[in-house]
Amino acid sequence: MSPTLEFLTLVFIFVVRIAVPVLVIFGILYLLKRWLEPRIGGVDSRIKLPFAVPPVLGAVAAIVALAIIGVIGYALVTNQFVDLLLLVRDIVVLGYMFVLRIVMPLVILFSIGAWFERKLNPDAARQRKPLSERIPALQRIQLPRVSARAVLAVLFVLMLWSAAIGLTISRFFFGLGYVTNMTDEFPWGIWIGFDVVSGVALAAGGFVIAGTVHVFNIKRFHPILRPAILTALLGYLLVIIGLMFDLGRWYNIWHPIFGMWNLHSPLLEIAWCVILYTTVLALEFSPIVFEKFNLQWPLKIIRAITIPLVIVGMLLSTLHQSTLGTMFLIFPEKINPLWYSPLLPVFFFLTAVAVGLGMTIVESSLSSRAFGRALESDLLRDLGRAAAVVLAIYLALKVYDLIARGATAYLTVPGFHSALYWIEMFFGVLVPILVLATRRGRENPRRLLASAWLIVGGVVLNRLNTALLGWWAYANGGPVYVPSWGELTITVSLVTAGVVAFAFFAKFFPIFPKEAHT
Amino acid sequence: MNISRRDFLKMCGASAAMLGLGAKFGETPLAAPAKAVPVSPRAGNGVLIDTTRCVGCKSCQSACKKANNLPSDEPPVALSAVTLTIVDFRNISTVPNKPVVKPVKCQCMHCEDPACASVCPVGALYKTENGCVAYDADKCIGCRYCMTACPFGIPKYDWNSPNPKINKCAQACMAEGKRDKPACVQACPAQALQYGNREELLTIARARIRENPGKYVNSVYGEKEIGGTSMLYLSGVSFEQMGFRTDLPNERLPQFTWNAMEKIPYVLGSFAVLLSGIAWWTHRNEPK
Repeated sequence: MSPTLEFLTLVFIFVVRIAVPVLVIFGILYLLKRWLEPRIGGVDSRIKLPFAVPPVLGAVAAIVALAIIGVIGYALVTNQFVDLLLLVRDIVVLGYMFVLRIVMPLVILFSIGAWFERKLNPDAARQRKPLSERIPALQRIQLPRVSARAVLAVLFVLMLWSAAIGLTISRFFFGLGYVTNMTDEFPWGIWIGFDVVSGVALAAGGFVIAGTVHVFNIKRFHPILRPAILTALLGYLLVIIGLMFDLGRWYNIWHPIFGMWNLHSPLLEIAWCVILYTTVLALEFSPIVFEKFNLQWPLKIIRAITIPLVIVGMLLSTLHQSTLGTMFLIFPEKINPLWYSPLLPVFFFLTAVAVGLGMTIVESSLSSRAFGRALESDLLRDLGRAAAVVLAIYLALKVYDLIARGATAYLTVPGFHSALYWIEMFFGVLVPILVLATRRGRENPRRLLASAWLIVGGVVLNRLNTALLGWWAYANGGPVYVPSWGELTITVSLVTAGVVAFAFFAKFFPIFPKEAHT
Repeated sequence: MNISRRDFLKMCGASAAMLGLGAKFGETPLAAPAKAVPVSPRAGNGVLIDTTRCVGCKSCQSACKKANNLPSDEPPVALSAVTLTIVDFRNISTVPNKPVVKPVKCQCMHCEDPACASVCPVGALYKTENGCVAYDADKCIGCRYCMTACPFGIPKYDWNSPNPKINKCAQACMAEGKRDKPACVQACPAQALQYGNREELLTIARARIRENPGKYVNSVYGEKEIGGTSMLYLSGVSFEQMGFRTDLPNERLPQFTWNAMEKIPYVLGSFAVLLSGIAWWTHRNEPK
């Protein structure tokens, strides 16, 4: 019996012996309930389900969930996951097409009709009850009063996300080629260059601030620790999601963890560090959740191991932030010498520290504006100063490296690459150093924020240059990679999802210190 | 405990210095003794490709397609996911507008120290004992690092598949003892391809250069490039003129990443000691 046939048999048995009987029992129970309800009377009105869930049902649901997990696990281990994917592909595509081609046009038609009615027959329209009175459930939803600009932003994000759903279906059920502009000549695009390589750097604030507070024991930075950890945790989760989009055989993402190791691959080390560090970040974040739900004993355990945890987090970060640079060392003949250097791991680590500080400034400034909190200007000022120090070391090392490798001649070759390099070094490194080195620059919140943005932009440009734009083909006039709208949509959707998740946690969890709430 | 800004900056400086030390560490004699990448199994087989004998009949190309059950409805123009070997017609003329066309068979070079295999995180690509760089799709996660790492741009990808694979010559035509030499070599009517032990092929190649003065340029492409490849080329005109990549270093590419990777234990160790020390020092006055 072939593996596929074996698997199909398994699915068939699952459907016949488990799914169908469960559905039949559900149906009988439901009908029984409806038949009984008017006769018994006085059924507890608080329960919103059609019938109360008996414990047996919970057990059945658990069994069904286990069976589904079992089927998926079996398919994964026996390399048949794609068959499973193809089994549900038609249903998913049909569902999406139904929404796209039937539900959405109907909604549009109805809206046009309602608009015309209000124009042509205003009296009848006014007499009709508003929607919220006809559907009581709508009354329970309370929307905050927001500005028109915020409504537009929300609409834009929703539009973006609905586009992202379709793109996600195309990418996972049909292949990368349907969404991306990547080719055999450019196997890496913006999903690696921005979502993963830049994303990891932008999430470096977590280990920098955690180290400042817990290892260097500078307690006054504590107020900005939790937002920094949250930013880092969300950042790493987005990196993993972005990586899932990019990995061709994403369902094998567990392979580097479970025993298939090539110890010479920088990517293996990065995979391990990212997984472990995301776990560390989740643990560093967990006190916030425990506090929210008032769980005392886990809180005690976490507090007891905080310092070792933070040290482990810093070690993991040091390793994978620098190894991301090591990854590009295998292409000595492909990357422009302006960027290719044996010191890439050191550069990547230094810029990660700098951009970690920069991102913390950006994130604190933006959330103080968004949530109407007082700005921790004195703390941010010191972060800015530290960033200037780190960037100055980086700049000195960069200059030394260019001279030592004899690559200074490339600086003056007019063209795409030298222009990119000058933009990156001037706006992303030199200007922030000059602004942040002066007291006037640091103490002006707008200048501080602007230079933090410049650091962020400079580091993103540096990662894009190394991973994408610095490749020789961009200078040779051949066909080059330009990200498709689909790739950009997914990337922007991920970023907005991160912002929304940050706002959610900031609203419902004790992220910011209490006394700062105004 | 309260630390002044000065102390904070000092610590920043100290950690930066430590970083420099970590980078320096690997260069000290402590780490120096030949920490090279472990060398893949050597003395495997290879193919000697004599471009002066090639007549451009494309028999190798069709034989490869047939042996690997690849679709052959369209005449291929370049290596692709369904074309693992191709006879590429290169213009070797030095005079403009007067093209002189020379056929060159292109395929995976089966490097002695393959960059693709060295970067693959899960070991889906690996050098076998008979000299071939093989591929195990069941392990592959589809990260495409091999594609970026390959200096010859050989691995090709199934862009339009939900279950994509890396496609390149993995000498699958010889799997399970189906053949004793690759299908392309079997199919060549002009004796331009010769399969055998790489060292012996090198000897043969040198003998041909020696015995036919003027017919060949005095070098074998693939002997030294990026540490050597199992595919060896002989040519009548310079390899640059033939459109080969002559800008490649002679060092094995995996060494470039390994130079940094080998320092990881030192960086990890020194940072662990350093950070623990700092944490102990800054918390020393705090009540337990």
